[in-house]
Order: sequence, then structure tokens, then C-alpha cells
Amino acid sequence: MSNQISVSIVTVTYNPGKFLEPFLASLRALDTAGIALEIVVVDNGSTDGSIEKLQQIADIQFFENDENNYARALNLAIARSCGDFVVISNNDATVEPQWLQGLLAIITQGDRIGAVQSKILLAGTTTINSVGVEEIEQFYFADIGWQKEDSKRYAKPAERDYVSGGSVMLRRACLEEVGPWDEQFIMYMEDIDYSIRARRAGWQLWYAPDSVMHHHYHGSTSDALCKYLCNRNRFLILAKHFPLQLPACIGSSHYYGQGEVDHLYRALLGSIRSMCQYQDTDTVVQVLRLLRDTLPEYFGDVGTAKFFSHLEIVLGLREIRVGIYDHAGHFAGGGQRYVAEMAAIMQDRYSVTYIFNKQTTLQKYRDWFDLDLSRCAMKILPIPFFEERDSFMPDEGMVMLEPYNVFDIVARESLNYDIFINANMLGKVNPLAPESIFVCHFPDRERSQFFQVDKYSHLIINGDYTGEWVKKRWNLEPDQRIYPPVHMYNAASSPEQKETLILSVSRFEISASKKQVEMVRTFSELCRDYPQETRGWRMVLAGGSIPNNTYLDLVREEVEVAVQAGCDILLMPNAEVSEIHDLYRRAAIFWHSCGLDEDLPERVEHFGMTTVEAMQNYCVPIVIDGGGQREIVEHGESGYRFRSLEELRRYTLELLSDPAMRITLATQAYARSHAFNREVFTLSLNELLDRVELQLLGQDVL
Amino acid sequence: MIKQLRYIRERIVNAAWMIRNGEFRSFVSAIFVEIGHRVNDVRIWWVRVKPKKLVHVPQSAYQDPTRVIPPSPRPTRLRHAEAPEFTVDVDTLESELAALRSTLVIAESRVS
Repeated sequence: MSNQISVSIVTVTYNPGKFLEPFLASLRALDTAGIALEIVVVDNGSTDGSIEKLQQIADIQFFENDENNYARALNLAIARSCGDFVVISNNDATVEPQWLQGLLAIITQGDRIGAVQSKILLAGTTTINSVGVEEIEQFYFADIGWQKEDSKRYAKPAERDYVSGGSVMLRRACLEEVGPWDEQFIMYMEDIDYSIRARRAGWQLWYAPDSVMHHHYHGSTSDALCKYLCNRNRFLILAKHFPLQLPACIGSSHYYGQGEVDHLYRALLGSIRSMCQYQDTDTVVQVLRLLRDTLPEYFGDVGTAKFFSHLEIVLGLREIRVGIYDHAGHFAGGGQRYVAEMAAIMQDRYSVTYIFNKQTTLQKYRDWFDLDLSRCAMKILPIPFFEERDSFMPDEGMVMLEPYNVFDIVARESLNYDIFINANMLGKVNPLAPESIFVCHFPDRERSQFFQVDKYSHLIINGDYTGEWVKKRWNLEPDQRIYPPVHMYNAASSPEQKETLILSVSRFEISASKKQVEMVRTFSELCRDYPQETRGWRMVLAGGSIPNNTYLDLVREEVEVAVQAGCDILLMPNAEVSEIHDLYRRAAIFWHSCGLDEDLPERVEHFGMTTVEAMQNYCVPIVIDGGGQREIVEHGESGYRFRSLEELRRYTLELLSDPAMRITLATQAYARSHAFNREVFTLSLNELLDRVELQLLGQDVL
Repeated sequence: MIKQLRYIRERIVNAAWMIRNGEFRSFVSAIFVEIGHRVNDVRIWWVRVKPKKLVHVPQSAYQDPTRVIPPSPRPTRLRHAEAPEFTVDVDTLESELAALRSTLVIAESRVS
């Protein structure tokens, strides 16, 4: 026994399926005279039932890798094996009985022979798969003998520059000296890396013709994965071993040849990161300078600037910069609040700069929305085109026939950030940051000249109604829905302690889309037709208004008529925030009818934050059955949805006549409102930011 | 250049060996493999020299060819990796990257 040579056969399985049993059977048929053999099998997360089969086999050592990484699995298996020689073998193959003896015959001929590769034939043929590996050109590697008929030519042992990891015997001393397999490679070309390292450490690599394997080519992986990883790993080889050659090899990359410039960009980022782990400072600096001259040919100046900036965060040289562009940030609105809430959360995680079009201060956000943005920086970026026209704010509808995109100045600014957020739907701003987020409150406009929304990495919507129209109008698929954050809870509100008050909170839009006139008329008719039920009930219409609002004048006239008819209606334009808070606390019923009988989708309430605010204060919502209100109010459970003014009257009357039902619905409305509060918003936003960060800094895994 | 000469020499040696040993099938197959390589070279050359239309930004001065739309299919997922141990001086790298970025002059306004 003591004269026996100890050999460990190591194989990594991943859904081996039909190949496993023939492979193991061929191992059992090996000529093991003079050999103490152990078989170590590592599984990389098979889902085809192979794990259960392997666990039942007694004569192998079997364990599972916690991730699907071939190089890592090899390292784990080699660490567990104890043979003086370790054979790494594919298992979508069968081996001939002399396979092991053939390898031993060569490796034992010299102490500095570190690795020996078998003759690998394509299964079922006498065609060569590999008898070694050679560099063909430009750091592309190919199997020697690939697709050639087996012949005398391959019958002699020969020294090789590189060996294939498909069937190779390694001397333990070589493994210990060269070190673990590089797990960055995941799979493919990890054997090339190992060959280079072994040869540099003075080990010889050989080919053994009498050791024969029959291999099912790509029996366990896909062509797409192979191509992707081989191209990616070629850059890793260059970064690790031939760094100064890397810039000159970009043009011959298959990624570039096939127009996969995004893959090329990411592979280069990863390879420079890897280079910083293996090379000295002078070499890396030299490579970066070469890239400065080379990359513009492939990425353009803009892409090259982005690359170097992106590299800074990939290398951890600085924190992530976020630019939030809000062209309408100088006045308060629902869209501004939505994005300010985003900024308030992000400022603790990143370096955030708020970019405005007009002079303003971040202090205003505290006054408007009670949000502290003191950790954000601010920048004013006027757009000359609109400055010349003295516009209150940029309107992309004005940019129709210009020979150039007037928003390019904003595009240029976006290049200064790692994440650029277009907060208020300027669809003609081209995002140049590595990651970009377009926040869509509603797609008001059709696609037109200079449309850029499809260039954003992430398209965020405020609700399903917006999402539906984003698909219809822009033919784009939103990638996350984040409901606006509503936080109008008031500890003093209770479903039992309500006044006989119907409340509406909506802007007095000149376009009349909020339908205050119709609501006044409906209340007036209710009072007239059901005096008993409506006795003591009051209606309050609150909301913002611009000066000289002609629609507000119309509402005022309608209210005067109703009051003269004996209705109790109060109009409160531009009420203070504290007054609105108090109204929500007191009101029993909330009406919202924005978009009733409107044909244009943009005139229907996109979401309806005020409805949620009312629900958070135990008001029962009776709202239009359309737009975003359908997502908020579950008809008959947390309020009512009406399709006509007749239905509005009917549902209101039901509540006026049944206080117990009103309390039940108010309680359910309150419970429903939690789905749209700040906590949910924060969770959704952090989920988005995690994905964005992963795109910026993540590395490939299978 | 030396590498290219070595490559040509190896091809000639292989061709001679195949003819001498009557391996005509392998010889023909090798010719097709070689043609395949050259065709690929031409294809790569064409991609390099042809006008690039990977991203269509109508009349914009700011084109970013790295943003391929739709993105190329990727058979892998992404995961955050542990911070690696660098062998380089990061301060030097930081100033070098800043210097390199400063050499890329990108117009502040439109470029006709």
C-alpha cells in the first residue's frame, strides 16, 4: 500500500443530468493499479435532482458549493482532497480506462512537471476537442487540434504553453506554490490564468496522448454564457498578466465587434479594478494614460469621461454622487414634494446635489413640506433658450423645430454625477451619467423630436395609471412603481369624533379639471332633495390657486348661488397647511372628482395624494372611479368610487344616513392609507437605490 | 510583428505536415478555419471604421455610445463584491483619474 500513488479526482457538477452516470461509471472502470484513488464531487447548485443522486453514492466525497462559481468550487474541492496529484475533470464526458495511468506516466517523469492535460476528443467521434491550448492572436486562445481528426500527429507527449482545465492532472506541490484558482473568472479561461501563473512559477505543462477523455462539448453550459465570459475573462487575463497590452486589444474584442459596447464598458471597468489588485501604481497609471488616448475611438469623449468617472467609484476612491434635476423646483407642487422626499432619504447615503433652473433655496422645502435638505448641495443651471424668452420655467413643448436640443446643457451637467435623477419629467434631457432615473408623474406628451426617456436606466412611475399610459404613449416598460409618500397622520383624528363636514382638497385649476363647480352643484342638489338627511352638514372646498384665477371666480359664483339656496358651503382657497390639517381632522367625508367626464387621460387624477391624506385622518373617501383613485380606494371597503354625479349623491346619502357604516369605512380607509405612507415610500426607494447601486458597482455572478 | 510571423510560420508548417501525411480533409478544414479568422478580422475592421449608429441622439452634441439601447443580453447577474485589496497607491490613482478627466473637454453648449 505504501508504494501507491495517491490521486484525487475533482469534478464540479451543475445540472449534469444524463451525463453524470456514464461519467461515474467510466471512473469506476479506470485502471487504478498502484493508485490510491479518491473522488471529490462539488455541486454548484444543480436543480435537476442530481444532488439527491450524488448524496446517495458511497464511494465519493460530495458537498455543495454555496454559489455557482466554477473556480470557487475547484478551490473548495482541492482544499478537501488529499492526493499527491489532483485531476480536474469535466463530467459531461467519459474517460477511457487508461486515462489516469496516461496522465501519471507523464507527470512522474519530472519534478517540475506541474500539470498534464489529456487528449480530449469530441464524444462519439475521433475528432479532437483539445490536446492543449495555444494563443492564436490578440490574446485569444484556442484548443490545439480543435475539430481535427485524431492522428499520429497527436500521439506524442509534448510540452504546452497552456493546458485546458477540462481534463488535467496537477501536482500538489504545484497547486500549493501557484495558489488558488482565481474566482473572479467564474468559469472559462481560469485554466489559462492558471497556466500562465504556473509557468511563471517555473512549472512545466505537458500533454499526455495516452490519457483519453470523450467530451460532450458545451454539455453543461450555453454558448451565450461561454461567449460572454470568454470575452470578459480575456480582459481579466490582460489586466493580470499583460496590462500594457490591454488598450491595444479593445478593438479586437468580440464585444466591440458585435456592438455590445455596454459589455465592453463593464468588462473594462472590471479589468482595471482587477489590475489594481495585481499591478504596481506606475503600470496602472501608464495603462490609464493609454486608455485616455484609446477609449474615445470606442466610447467617444462623453463615454470616456463617464468611464473615468465611473472608475473612481468602482475603485472606491470617492462616494457616489447624485444629481437631482428639477426644472420646476422654484415653486411648490406634488412633483416637487415627491422628489424632495427622495432627496431627504438619499442625502444620508450619497453626496446629493439639487439642480434647479431658477434661483431658489433648499430652505423653502422646509417651509413647504417640512423637509430638511440641509445635507444636499444646490446648483442653479439656467437654460439660455428659456432665459432669452423669459420663461417662468422650461417648457419642452416650446422646443420643436430647433436645430439642436436646447436641453443638452443639462445633459452635459448630468455627466458630473454617478446617478442622475430627472425629477420632473423633462423628456428631452439626455442622461449621460452611468445610472439615470426618470421619475414620471404622468406622460403628458407624446414622443416627439429629441425624446430621450428611453435612454434612462430606470423609469419610475407614481402609480399603475401612469404606468399604463407610459406603455401606451411611449411604448416603454416602467421598471418600478413608487407611490408618492403621504404623511398626514394626526393623532387627534378619530373615526368617532367627526363633524358633519364634507371636504374637498384640490387645486382650483384654470382648466376646470378638478370639478369644484360640479361638486358644489351636487351638494346643493343633495341639500334641496334631502333636507332631513343633510341637516347640519357643511361642505368645505380648500385648495391652492394662482392669482386672478378665472375658474376660482366661477366656483365662487356657484357657491354664492348655493348659499342663497340655504346650503352651508365654505370656500378656502390657499388655506394654511395648519388649516388643512384641522379640516382633515374634522371632516367625516372626503370628495374628489378630478377628471370626471374627461376624455383626455392627463386630465384625470394621476394619483391623488389628498385622498390618502384624508384617509389617514379617518375621512371616508367618495372619489371618481378613474385614474389613480382606483388604486387607492377599494370600492365598498375603504370608501366609494363613483362614475357619475348621480352615484356621488347616492353614496354620500348612504353615509349620511348610516353613521355606523361611516365609522366602519373610515376605520378601513385609515388602514388602507398605510399602503401609501412615507415608510412604504422609503422601502420602495431603498429597493430602487439598491438596484441602481448594483448596476454601478456590482460584479458578475451566475 | 514577431508574433504574426510566428503565426504564419506555424500555419505553413502545419499545412506542409498535413499534405505530407495525406491529411487532405484536415488541410481543407484548416483553410476554412483560417478563412473564418480573416472574415472575422474584416468584420471587426468594418465595425471600427463604419459610421457609428449605436445610439441615435437626434442632432445632439452629446452622444454616449456606451449606452446601448436596448442593453445587450447578459447571461449573468450582478452582486456586490467585497472591497479588494489594492496593490496600487489610491491617492496617486485618484489624482491621475482627475487629471485624465480634465483633458476631456466636453462642450458646455451645443456643438454644430
